[in-house]
Amino acid sequence: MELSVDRLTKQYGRKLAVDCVSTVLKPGVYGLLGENGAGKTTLMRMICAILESTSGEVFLDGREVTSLGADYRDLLGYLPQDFGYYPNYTAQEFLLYMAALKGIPRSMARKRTKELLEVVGLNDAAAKKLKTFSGGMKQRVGIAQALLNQPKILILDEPTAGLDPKERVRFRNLISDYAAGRIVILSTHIVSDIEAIADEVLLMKKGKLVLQGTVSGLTKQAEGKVWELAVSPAEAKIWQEKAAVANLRHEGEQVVLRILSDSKPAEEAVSCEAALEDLYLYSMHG
Amino acid sequence: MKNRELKTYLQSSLQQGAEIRHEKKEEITAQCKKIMREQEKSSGEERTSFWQFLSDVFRFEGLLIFGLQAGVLFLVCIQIGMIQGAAYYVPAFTPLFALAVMPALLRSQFYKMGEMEAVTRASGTEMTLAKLILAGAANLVCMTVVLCMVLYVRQSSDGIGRMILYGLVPYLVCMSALLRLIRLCKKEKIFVCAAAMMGSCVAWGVSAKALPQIYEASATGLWILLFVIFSGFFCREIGYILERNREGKLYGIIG
Repeated sequence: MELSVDRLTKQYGRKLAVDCVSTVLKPGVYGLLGENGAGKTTLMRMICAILESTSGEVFLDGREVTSLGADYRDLLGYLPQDFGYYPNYTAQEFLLYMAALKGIPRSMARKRTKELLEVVGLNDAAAKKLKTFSGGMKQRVGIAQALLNQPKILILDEPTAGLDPKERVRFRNLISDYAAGRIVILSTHIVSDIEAIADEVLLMKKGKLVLQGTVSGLTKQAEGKVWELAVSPAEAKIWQEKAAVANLRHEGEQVVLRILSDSKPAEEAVSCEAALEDLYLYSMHG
Repeated sequence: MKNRELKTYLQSSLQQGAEIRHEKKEEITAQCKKIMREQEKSSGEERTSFWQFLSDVFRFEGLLIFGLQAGVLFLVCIQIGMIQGAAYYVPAFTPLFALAVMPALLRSQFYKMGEMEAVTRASGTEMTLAKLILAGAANLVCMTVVLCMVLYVRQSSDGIGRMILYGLVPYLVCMSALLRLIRLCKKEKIFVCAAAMMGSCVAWGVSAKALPQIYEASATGLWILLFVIFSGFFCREIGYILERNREGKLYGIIG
Protein backbone atom coordinates (compact mmCIF):
# COMPACT_ATOMS: atom_id res chain seq x y z
CA MET A 1 0.00 0.00 0.00
CA GLU A 2 1.37 3.38 -1.00
CA LEU A 3 -0.21 6.78 -0.48
CA SER A 4 1.31 9.40 -2.76
CA VAL A 5 0.76 13.08 -2.31
CA ASP A 6 1.59 14.84 -5.53
CA ARG A 7 2.18 18.59 -5.55
CA LEU A 8 -0.82 19.19 -3.29
CA THR A 9 -1.73 22.85 -2.98
CA LYS A 10 -4.53 24.66 -1.23
CA GLN A 11 -5.06 28.36 -1.58
CA TYR A 12 -7.56 30.47 0.35
CA GLY A 13 -7.74 33.81 -1.42
CA ARG A 14 -4.13 35.04 -1.44
CA LYS A 15 -2.99 32.73 1.35
CA LEU A 16 -1.31 29.46 0.45
CA ALA A 17 -2.33 27.09 3.23
CA VAL A 18 -0.53 24.15 1.64
CA ASP A 19 2.12 24.88 -0.92
CA CYS A 20 2.98 22.15 -3.41
CA VAL A 21 3.48 19.32 -0.92
CA SER A 22 4.73 16.03 -2.36
CA THR A 23 5.54 12.89 -0.45
CA VAL A 24 5.13 9.12 -0.58
CA LEU A 25 3.78 7.35 2.47
CA LYS A 26 4.18 3.62 3.00
CA PRO A 27 2.99 1.60 6.02
CA GLY A 28 4.40 3.14 9.17
CA VAL A 29 3.74 5.96 11.62
CA TYR A 30 4.27 9.46 10.30
CA GLY A 31 4.44 12.39 12.66
CA LEU A 32 3.39 15.71 11.21
CA LEU A 33 5.04 18.60 12.99
CA GLY A 34 4.62 22.29 12.46
CA GLU A 35 3.51 25.41 14.26
CA ASN A 36 -0.09 26.65 14.26
CA GLY A 37 -1.16 27.62 10.76
CA ALA A 38 1.60 25.60 9.08
CA GLY A 39 -1.01 23.74 7.03
CA LYS A 40 -1.08 20.39 8.85
CA THR A 41 -4.86 20.20 9.24
CA THR A 42 -5.46 21.40 5.67
CA LEU A 43 -3.07 18.73 4.37
CA MET A 44 -4.76 16.04 6.44
CA ARG A 45 -8.21 17.08 5.26
CA MET A 46 -7.08 16.92 1.65
CA ILE A 47 -5.59 13.46 2.21
CA CYS A 48 -8.96 12.43 3.67
CA ALA A 49 -10.60 13.81 0.49
CA ILE A 50 -12.99 16.04 2.43
CA LEU A 51 -11.29 19.20 1.22
CA GLU A 52 -10.79 19.83 -2.45
CA SER A 53 -7.26 20.84 -3.37
CA THR A 54 -6.54 23.91 -5.49
CA SER A 55 -4.10 21.76 -7.44
CA GLY A 56 -2.30 18.46 -7.03
CA GLU A 57 -3.64 15.05 -6.20
CA VAL A 58 -3.51 12.21 -3.70
CA PHE A 59 -3.08 8.67 -5.02
CA LEU A 60 -3.57 5.34 -3.32
CA ASP A 61 -1.59 2.68 -5.14
CA GLY A 62 -1.64 4.80 -8.26
CA ARG A 63 -5.38 5.57 -8.18
CA GLU A 64 -6.66 9.04 -7.46
CA VAL A 65 -8.44 8.87 -4.10
CA THR A 66 -11.54 10.89 -5.00
CA SER A 67 -12.23 8.43 -7.82
CA LEU A 68 -12.13 5.57 -5.26
CA GLY A 69 -15.00 7.25 -3.35
CA ALA A 70 -16.56 5.07 -0.64
CA ASP A 71 -13.91 2.36 -1.10
CA TYR A 72 -11.25 4.86 -0.08
CA ARG A 73 -13.25 6.14 2.87
CA ASP A 74 -13.72 2.53 3.94
CA LEU A 75 -9.97 2.34 4.45
CA LEU A 76 -9.82 5.59 6.39
CA GLY A 77 -9.98 6.36 10.07
CA TYR A 78 -10.01 10.06 10.89
CA LEU A 79 -9.95 12.09 14.06
CA PRO A 80 -10.46 15.80 13.33
CA GLN A 81 -8.74 18.41 15.43
CA ASP A 82 -11.89 20.13 16.56
CA PHE A 83 -14.74 17.69 16.55
CA GLY A 84 -18.19 17.79 18.05
CA TYR A 85 -20.41 15.09 19.44
CA TYR A 86 -24.08 14.41 20.03
CA PRO A 87 -24.41 15.30 23.74
CA ASN A 88 -27.28 12.97 24.48
CA TYR A 89 -25.59 9.87 23.12
CA THR A 90 -23.75 7.61 25.51
CA ALA A 91 -20.20 6.66 24.54
CA GLN A 92 -21.49 3.27 23.42
CA GLU A 93 -24.35 4.75 21.37
CA PHE A 94 -21.98 7.22 19.76
CA LEU A 95 -19.61 4.46 18.67
CA LEU A 96 -22.51 2.34 17.42
CA TYR A 97 -23.75 5.35 15.44
CA MET A 98 -20.30 5.88 13.89
CA ALA A 99 -20.10 2.14 13.18
CA ALA A 100 -23.40 2.37 11.31
CA LEU A 101 -21.99 5.21 9.18
CA LYS A 102 -18.91 3.11 8.50
CA GLY A 103 -21.16 0.30 7.28
CA ILE A 104 -20.19 -2.14 10.02
CA PRO A 105 -22.87 -4.79 10.65
CA ARG A 106 -24.58 -4.49 14.04
CA SER A 107 -23.21 -7.63 15.69
CA MET A 108 -19.65 -6.76 14.69
CA ALA A 109 -20.21 -3.12 15.71
CA ARG A 110 -21.32 -4.14 19.20
CA LYS A 111 -18.30 -6.40 19.65
CA ARG A 112 -15.84 -3.82 18.37
CA THR A 113 -17.40 -0.99 20.37
CA LYS A 114 -16.96 -3.01 23.55
CA GLU A 115 -13.35 -3.83 22.68
CA LEU A 116 -12.44 -0.26 21.79
CA LEU A 117 -14.05 1.24 24.88
CA GLU A 118 -11.84 -1.09 26.89
CA VAL A 119 -8.77 -0.20 24.83
CA VAL A 120 -9.26 3.53 25.44
CA GLY A 121 -10.11 2.95 29.09
CA LEU A 122 -13.74 3.98 28.94
CA ASN A 123 -15.56 0.72 29.58
CA ASP A 124 -16.79 1.98 32.93
CA ALA A 125 -18.18 5.11 31.28
CA ALA A 126 -19.76 3.32 28.30
CA ALA A 127 -23.30 4.03 29.45
CA LYS A 128 -22.66 7.65 30.41
CA LYS A 129 -23.77 10.50 28.18
CA LEU A 130 -21.08 12.33 26.26
CA LYS A 131 -22.18 15.69 27.67
CA THR A 132 -20.90 14.51 31.07
CA PHE A 133 -17.44 13.61 29.68
CA SER A 134 -14.27 15.62 30.29
CA GLY A 135 -12.19 16.87 27.33
CA GLY A 136 -9.76 13.95 27.61
CA MET A 137 -12.58 11.40 27.72
CA LYS A 138 -14.16 12.90 24.59
CA GLN A 139 -10.78 12.74 22.89
CA ARG A 140 -10.55 9.05 23.74
CA VAL A 141 -14.02 8.43 22.30
CA GLY A 142 -12.82 10.25 19.17
CA ILE A 143 -9.78 7.99 18.95
CA ALA A 144 -12.00 4.92 19.41
CA GLN A 145 -14.34 5.97 16.58
CA ALA A 146 -11.39 6.41 14.24
CA LEU A 147 -10.36 2.81 14.91
CA LEU A 148 -13.84 1.27 14.52
CA ASN A 149 -13.41 0.09 10.93
CA GLN A 150 -9.84 -1.10 11.52
CA PRO A 151 -8.62 1.45 8.97
CA LYS A 152 -5.58 0.87 6.81
CA ILE A 153 -4.97 4.60 6.73
CA LEU A 154 -5.37 6.30 10.09
CA ILE A 155 -5.24 10.09 10.21
CA LEU A 156 -5.23 11.72 13.61
CA ASP A 157 -5.17 15.48 14.01
CA GLU A 158 -3.82 16.42 17.44
CA PRO A 159 -4.88 13.11 19.01
CA THR A 160 -3.06 13.68 22.29
CA ALA A 161 -4.56 17.12 22.93
CA GLY A 162 -6.32 17.02 26.29
CA LEU A 163 -4.95 13.62 27.30
CA ASP A 164 -3.19 13.30 30.64
CA PRO A 165 0.35 11.78 30.68
CA LYS A 166 -0.96 8.30 31.56
CA GLU A 167 -3.47 8.39 28.72
CA ARG A 168 -0.80 9.68 26.34
CA VAL A 169 1.35 6.67 27.11
CA ARG A 170 -1.67 4.40 26.59
CA PHE A 171 -2.35 6.13 23.26
CA ARG A 172 1.29 5.75 22.14
CA ASN A 173 1.21 2.03 22.93
CA LEU A 174 -2.10 1.64 21.16
CA ILE A 175 -0.83 3.29 17.99
CA SER A 176 2.46 1.36 18.04
CA ASP A 177 0.53 -1.92 18.28
CA TYR A 178 -1.94 -0.85 15.66
CA ALA A 179 0.43 0.54 13.07
CA ALA A 180 1.77 -2.73 11.64
CA GLY A 181 1.02 -2.81 7.92
CA ARG A 182 -0.94 0.44 8.08
CA ILE A 183 -0.29 4.07 7.34
CA VAL A 184 -0.74 6.23 10.43
CA ILE A 185 -0.40 10.00 10.12
CA LEU A 186 -0.62 12.04 13.27
CA SER A 187 -0.10 15.69 13.89
CA THR A 188 0.82 17.10 17.25
CA HIS A 189 2.73 19.88 18.94
CA ILE A 190 4.06 17.43 21.49
CA VAL A 191 7.41 16.47 20.00
CA SER A 192 8.00 13.73 22.58
CA ASP A 193 4.91 11.87 21.32
CA ILE A 194 6.34 11.90 17.81
CA GLU A 195 9.78 10.84 19.09
CA ALA A 196 8.19 7.92 20.89
CA ILE A 197 6.06 6.44 18.12
CA ALA A 198 6.80 7.95 14.71
CA ASP A 199 8.90 6.06 12.17
CA GLU A 200 9.17 9.20 10.09
CA VAL A 201 8.66 12.87 10.74
CA LEU A 202 7.22 15.39 8.29
CA LEU A 203 8.00 18.96 9.22
CA MET A 204 5.78 21.68 7.79
CA LYS A 205 6.40 25.39 7.74
CA LYS A 206 4.21 28.02 6.12
CA GLY A 207 2.41 25.39 4.04
CA LYS A 208 5.59 23.77 2.78
CA LEU A 209 7.04 20.40 3.67
CA VAL A 210 10.49 21.48 4.79
CA LEU A 211 11.89 18.25 6.20
CA GLN A 212 11.10 14.57 6.04
CA GLY A 213 13.05 11.70 7.58
CA THR A 214 13.40 9.31 10.45
CA VAL A 215 13.65 10.66 13.99
CA SER A 216 17.29 9.60 14.28
CA GLY A 217 18.13 10.90 10.80
CA LEU A 218 16.59 14.26 11.48
CA THR A 219 18.11 14.52 14.93
CA LYS A 220 21.51 14.02 13.34
CA GLN A 221 20.87 17.12 11.27
CA ALA A 222 20.66 19.15 14.46
CA GLU A 223 23.91 17.74 15.84
CA GLY A 224 26.56 20.39 16.40
CA LYS A 225 23.89 23.07 16.47
CA VAL A 226 22.77 22.69 20.09
CA TRP A 227 24.68 24.48 22.81
CA GLU A 228 24.35 25.04 26.50
CA LEU A 229 25.44 28.29 28.05
CA ALA A 230 25.34 29.33 31.70
CA VAL A 231 24.70 33.07 32.12
CA SER A 232 23.34 35.51 34.68
CA PRO A 233 19.56 36.20 34.68
CA ALA A 234 20.16 39.64 33.15
CA GLU A 235 22.24 38.20 30.32
CA ALA A 236 19.66 35.46 29.78
CA LYS A 237 17.14 38.09 28.67
CA ILE A 238 19.57 39.48 26.12
CA TRP A 239 20.36 36.00 24.79
CA GLN A 240 16.65 35.21 24.42
CA GLU A 241 16.30 38.22 22.14
CA LYS A 242 19.38 37.64 19.98
CA ALA A 243 19.45 33.82 19.69
CA ALA A 244 17.13 30.83 19.32
CA VAL A 245 16.76 29.66 22.91
CA ALA A 246 15.10 26.24 23.06
CA ASN A 247 15.03 25.97 26.82
CA LEU A 248 16.26 27.62 30.00
CA ARG A 249 16.66 26.30 33.50
CA HIS A 250 17.81 27.91 36.72
CA GLU A 251 20.87 26.44 38.43
CA GLY A 252 21.62 28.37 41.60
CA GLU A 253 22.39 31.98 40.70
CA GLN A 254 22.76 31.20 37.02
CA VAL A 255 20.49 30.40 34.13
CA VAL A 256 21.46 27.60 31.76
CA LEU A 257 20.31 28.34 28.24
CA ARG A 258 19.87 25.74 25.50
CA ILE A 259 20.78 27.65 22.35
CA LEU A 260 20.28 26.56 18.74
CA SER A 261 22.98 27.98 16.52
CA ASP A 262 25.04 26.94 13.48
CA SER A 263 28.20 28.16 15.18
CA LYS A 264 29.34 28.33 18.77
CA PRO A 265 27.37 31.26 20.20
CA ALA A 266 29.92 32.10 22.91
CA GLU A 267 33.32 30.94 24.12
CA GLU A 268 31.82 29.38 27.28
CA ALA A 269 29.08 27.55 25.34
CA VAL A 270 29.25 23.75 25.45
CA SER A 271 28.00 21.52 22.64
CA CYS A 272 25.31 19.06 23.76
CA GLU A 273 23.29 16.15 22.38
CA ALA A 274 20.55 17.17 19.97
CA ALA A 275 16.93 16.04 20.25
CA LEU A 276 14.08 16.17 17.72
CA GLU A 277 12.62 19.16 19.53
CA ASP A 278 15.85 21.06 18.88
CA LEU A 279 15.60 20.43 15.17
CA TYR A 280 11.94 21.42 15.22
CA LEU A 281 12.68 24.70 16.97
CA TYR A 282 15.75 25.29 14.81
CA SER A 283 13.68 24.84 11.62
CA MET A 284 10.92 27.09 12.92
CA HIS A 285 13.40 29.77 13.92
CA GLY A 286 15.39 29.74 10.68
CA MET B 1 -11.20 -14.84 -11.54
CA LYS B 2 -13.02 -15.39 -8.25
CA ASN B 3 -11.27 -16.91 -5.24
CA ARG B 4 -13.36 -20.10 -5.42
CA GLU B 5 -12.58 -20.58 -9.12
CA LEU B 6 -8.90 -20.05 -8.45
CA LYS B 7 -8.97 -22.57 -5.61
CA THR B 8 -10.66 -25.18 -7.82
CA TYR B 9 -8.18 -24.46 -10.56
CA LEU B 10 -5.22 -24.86 -8.22
CA GLN B 11 -6.65 -28.09 -6.79
CA SER B 12 -7.19 -29.62 -10.23
CA SER B 13 -3.69 -28.55 -11.26
CA LEU B 14 -2.22 -30.27 -8.21
CA GLN B 15 -4.16 -33.46 -8.96
CA GLN B 16 -2.88 -33.52 -12.52
CA GLY B 17 0.70 -34.16 -11.45
CA ALA B 18 3.84 -32.46 -10.36
CA GLU B 19 4.92 -31.14 -13.72
CA ILE B 20 5.28 -27.38 -13.60
CA ARG B 21 4.57 -25.39 -16.70
CA HIS B 22 6.45 -22.15 -16.35
CA GLU B 23 4.17 -20.00 -18.51
CA LYS B 24 1.16 -21.22 -16.47
CA LYS B 25 3.02 -20.60 -13.22
CA GLU B 26 3.64 -17.00 -14.19
CA GLU B 27 0.01 -16.57 -15.16
CA ILE B 28 -1.18 -17.94 -11.81
CA THR B 29 1.34 -15.86 -9.91
CA ALA B 30 0.05 -12.75 -11.69
CA GLN B 31 -3.54 -13.69 -10.84
CA CYS B 32 -2.65 -14.27 -7.20
CA LYS B 33 -0.92 -10.90 -7.05
CA LYS B 34 -3.98 -9.22 -8.57
CA ILE B 35 -6.27 -10.81 -5.97
CA MET B 36 -3.90 -9.82 -3.17
CA ARG B 37 -3.87 -6.24 -4.44
CA GLU B 38 -7.67 -6.14 -4.59
CA GLN B 39 -7.91 -7.50 -1.05
CA GLU B 40 -5.39 -4.95 0.12
CA LYS B 41 -7.47 -2.12 -1.32
CA SER B 42 -10.73 -3.22 0.24
CA SER B 43 -11.13 -3.54 3.99
CA GLY B 44 -11.93 -7.21 3.42
CA GLU B 45 -14.75 -6.97 5.95
CA GLU B 46 -18.44 -7.30 5.43
CA ARG B 47 -20.24 -3.97 5.02
CA THR B 48 -23.93 -3.20 5.33
CA SER B 49 -26.17 -2.62 2.31
CA PHE B 50 -28.05 0.64 1.81
CA TRP B 51 -31.26 -0.84 3.26
CA GLN B 52 -29.45 -2.04 6.37
CA PHE B 53 -27.88 1.41 6.61
CA LEU B 54 -31.35 2.95 6.28
CA SER B 55 -32.60 0.84 9.17
CA ASP B 56 -29.58 1.99 11.23
CA VAL B 57 -30.34 5.63 10.39
CA PHE B 58 -33.94 4.99 11.44
CA ARG B 59 -32.66 3.58 14.75
CA PHE B 60 -30.59 6.68 15.48
CA GLU B 61 -32.49 9.49 13.73
CA GLY B 62 -36.02 8.06 13.51
CA LEU B 63 -37.22 9.53 16.78
CA LEU B 64 -36.06 13.03 15.82
CA ILE B 65 -37.51 12.86 12.30
CA PHE B 66 -40.85 11.24 13.15
CA GLY B 67 -41.18 13.03 16.48
CA LEU B 68 -40.90 16.49 14.91
CA GLN B 69 -43.27 15.57 12.11
CA ALA B 70 -45.78 14.23 14.62
CA GLY B 71 -45.49 17.42 16.67
CA VAL B 72 -46.13 19.60 13.61
CA LEU B 73 -49.00 17.35 12.54
CA PHE B 74 -50.64 17.72 15.95
CA LEU B 75 -50.43 21.52 15.80
CA VAL B 76 -51.66 21.65 12.21
CA CYS B 77 -54.63 19.39 12.98
CA ILE B 78 -55.64 21.64 15.89
CA GLN B 79 -55.44 24.69 13.61
CA ILE B 80 -57.48 23.02 10.86
CA GLY B 81 -60.17 22.19 13.39
CA MET B 82 -60.35 25.86 14.40
CA ILE B 83 -60.24 27.61 10.99
CA GLN B 84 -63.14 28.33 8.73
CA GLY B 85 -62.48 27.37 5.07
CA ALA B 86 -59.54 25.14 6.02
CA ALA B 87 -58.93 23.97 2.44
CA TYR B 88 -57.56 27.39 1.46
CA TYR B 89 -55.08 27.25 4.33
CA VAL B 90 -53.51 23.91 3.41
CA PRO B 91 -50.59 25.69 1.62
CA ALA B 92 -49.89 27.64 4.81
CA PHE B 93 -49.36 24.44 6.76
CA THR B 94 -47.24 22.22 4.53
CA PRO B 95 -44.01 24.33 4.64
CA LEU B 96 -44.00 23.51 8.35
CA PHE B 97 -43.40 19.86 7.49
CA ALA B 98 -40.39 20.86 5.38
CA LEU B 99 -39.21 23.06 8.25
CA ALA B 100 -39.46 20.09 10.63
CA VAL B 101 -37.05 18.12 8.39
CA MET B 102 -34.28 20.70 8.90
CA PRO B 103 -33.06 19.66 12.38
CA ALA B 104 -32.48 16.09 11.20
CA LEU B 105 -30.82 17.13 7.94
CA LEU B 106 -28.55 19.68 9.60
CA ARG B 107 -27.91 17.99 12.93
CA SER B 108 -24.32 17.05 12.10
CA GLN B 109 -23.49 20.66 11.19
CA PHE B 110 -25.08 21.97 14.37
CA TYR B 111 -23.05 19.56 16.53
CA LYS B 112 -19.83 19.92 14.45
CA MET B 113 -19.98 16.28 13.43
CA GLY B 114 -19.99 16.95 9.68
CA GLU B 115 -16.27 16.39 9.15
CA MET B 116 -16.13 13.19 11.15
CA GLU B 117 -19.22 11.81 9.44
CA ALA B 118 -17.95 12.78 6.00
CA VAL B 119 -14.93 10.48 6.36
CA THR B 120 -17.07 7.37 6.65
CA ARG B 121 -18.26 4.88 4.10
CA ALA B 122 -21.74 6.44 4.13
CA SER B 123 -20.43 10.03 4.05
CA GLY B 124 -22.81 12.97 4.03
CA THR B 125 -24.41 11.89 0.76
CA GLU B 126 -25.79 8.51 1.79
CA MET B 127 -26.75 9.94 5.17
CA THR B 128 -28.71 12.80 3.55
CA LEU B 129 -30.38 10.35 1.21
CA ALA B 130 -31.39 8.06 4.06
CA LYS B 131 -32.73 10.98 6.10
CA LEU B 132 -34.66 12.29 3.09
CA ILE B 133 -36.26 8.87 2.55
CA LEU B 134 -37.34 8.70 6.20
CA ALA B 135 -38.49 12.33 6.23
CA GLY B 136 -40.30 11.83 2.92
CA ALA B 137 -42.17 8.84 4.33
CA ALA B 138 -43.11 10.83 7.44
CA ASN B 139 -44.17 13.83 5.30
CA LEU B 140 -46.33 11.61 3.12
CA VAL B 141 -48.16 10.20 6.14
CA CYS B 142 -48.55 13.64 7.74
CA MET B 143 -49.86 15.33 4.59
CA THR B 144 -52.33 12.51 4.06
CA VAL B 145 -53.57 12.96 7.62
CA VAL B 146 -53.86 16.73 7.04
CA LEU B 147 -55.93 16.20 3.89
CA CYS B 148 -58.14 13.66 5.66
CA MET B 149 -58.60 16.16 8.47
CA VAL B 150 -59.61 18.90 6.00
CA LEU B 151 -62.06 16.53 4.30
CA TYR B 152 -63.49 15.59 7.69
CA VAL B 153 -63.91 19.24 8.68
CA ARG B 154 -65.51 20.13 5.33
CA GLN B 155 -67.64 16.96 5.31
CA SER B 156 -67.05 16.85 1.56
CA SER B 157 -64.49 15.37 -0.82
CA ASP B 158 -64.99 18.03 -3.53
CA GLY B 159 -61.77 19.50 -4.89
CA ILE B 160 -59.55 16.85 -3.29
CA GLY B 161 -57.16 16.97 -6.26
CA ARG B 162 -56.72 20.72 -5.88
CA MET B 163 -56.09 20.34 -2.18
CA ILE B 164 -53.32 17.85 -2.89
CA LEU B 165 -51.74 20.48 -5.14
CA TYR B 166 -52.21 23.17 -2.46
CA GLY B 167 -50.28 20.96 -0.09
CA LEU B 168 -47.54 19.76 -2.42
CA VAL B 169 -46.57 22.99 -4.20
CA PRO B 170 -45.42 24.96 -1.10
CA TYR B 171 -43.75 21.82 0.27
CA LEU B 172 -41.77 21.30 -2.95
CA VAL B 173 -40.77 24.98 -3.04
CA CYS B 174 -39.38 24.79 0.51
CA MET B 175 -37.65 21.42 0.09
CA SER B 176 -36.04 22.47 -3.22
CA ALA B 177 -34.74 25.67 -1.64
CA LEU B 178 -33.38 23.79 1.40
CA LEU B 179 -31.62 21.13 -0.69
CA ARG B 180 -30.20 23.76 -3.00
CA LEU B 181 -28.68 25.63 -0.06
CA ILE B 182 -27.16 22.42 1.29
CA ARG B 183 -25.81 21.56 -2.18
CA LEU B 184 -24.23 24.99 -2.53
CA CYS B 185 -22.77 24.62 1.00
CA LYS B 186 -24.36 27.90 2.13
CA LYS B 187 -24.25 27.21 5.83
CA GLU B 188 -24.86 30.82 6.79
CA LYS B 189 -28.04 31.00 4.68
CA ILE B 190 -29.74 28.09 6.44
CA PHE B 191 -31.34 30.32 9.08
CA VAL B 192 -32.53 32.66 6.34
CA CYS B 193 -34.07 29.62 4.64
CA ALA B 194 -35.83 28.60 7.88
CA ALA B 195 -37.14 32.15 8.32
CA ALA B 196 -38.30 32.17 4.69
CA MET B 197 -40.21 28.93 5.25
CA MET B 198 -41.99 30.45 8.22
CA GLY B 199 -42.62 33.59 6.18
CA SER B 200 -44.06 31.56 3.35
CA CYS B 201 -46.60 30.03 5.77
CA VAL B 202 -47.78 33.53 6.63
CA ALA B 203 -47.77 34.58 2.94
CA TRP B 204 -49.86 31.58 1.89
CA GLY B 205 -52.21 32.22 4.78
CA VAL B 206 -52.62 35.88 3.77
CA SER B 207 -53.17 34.86 0.14
CA ALA B 208 -56.11 32.70 1.24
CA LYS B 209 -57.80 35.84 2.55
CA ALA B 210 -56.52 38.43 0.05
CA LEU B 211 -56.54 36.39 -3.17
CA PRO B 212 -59.32 33.80 -2.87
CA GLN B 213 -59.50 33.59 -6.68
CA ILE B 214 -56.25 31.58 -6.82
CA TYR B 215 -57.99 28.88 -4.80
CA GLU B 216 -60.92 28.61 -7.16
CA ALA B 217 -61.39 25.70 -9.59
CA SER B 218 -60.49 28.00 -12.53
CA ALA B 219 -56.96 28.45 -11.12
CA THR B 220 -56.20 24.73 -11.11
CA GLY B 221 -54.05 25.12 -14.24
CA LEU B 222 -51.79 27.56 -12.41
CA TRP B 223 -51.34 25.10 -9.53
CA ILE B 224 -50.57 22.25 -11.95
CA LEU B 225 -47.99 24.46 -13.68
CA LEU B 226 -46.38 25.37 -10.35
CA PHE B 227 -46.42 21.71 -9.34
CA VAL B 228 -44.62 20.69 -12.56
CA ILE B 229 -42.01 23.46 -12.22
CA PHE B 230 -41.17 22.81 -8.58
CA SER B 231 -41.30 19.02 -9.00
CA GLY B 232 -38.63 19.57 -11.65
CA PHE B 233 -36.45 21.56 -9.23
CA PHE B 234 -36.98 19.02 -6.46
CA CYS B 235 -36.21 16.04 -8.73
CA ARG B 236 -33.07 17.81 -9.95
CA GLU B 237 -31.82 18.17 -6.37
CA ILE B 238 -32.64 14.54 -5.56
CA GLY B 239 -31.02 13.46 -8.83
CA TYR B 240 -27.87 15.34 -7.87
CA ILE B 241 -27.71 13.57 -4.49
CA LEU B 242 -28.27 10.19 -6.17
CA GLU B 243 -25.52 10.91 -8.68
CA ARG B 244 -23.06 11.92 -5.92
CA ASN B 245 -24.02 8.80 -4.00
CA ARG B 246 -23.46 6.56 -7.02
CA GLU B 247 -20.05 8.15 -7.62
CA GLY B 248 -19.19 7.84 -3.91
CA LYS B 249 -18.62 11.59 -3.66
CA LEU B 250 -19.31 13.92 -0.78
CA TYR B 251 -22.36 16.15 -0.62
CA GLY B 252 -23.35 19.26 1.23
CA ILE B 253 -21.95 21.23 4.11
CA ILE B 254 -18.92 19.53 5.64
CA GLY B 255 -17.00 20.68 8.68
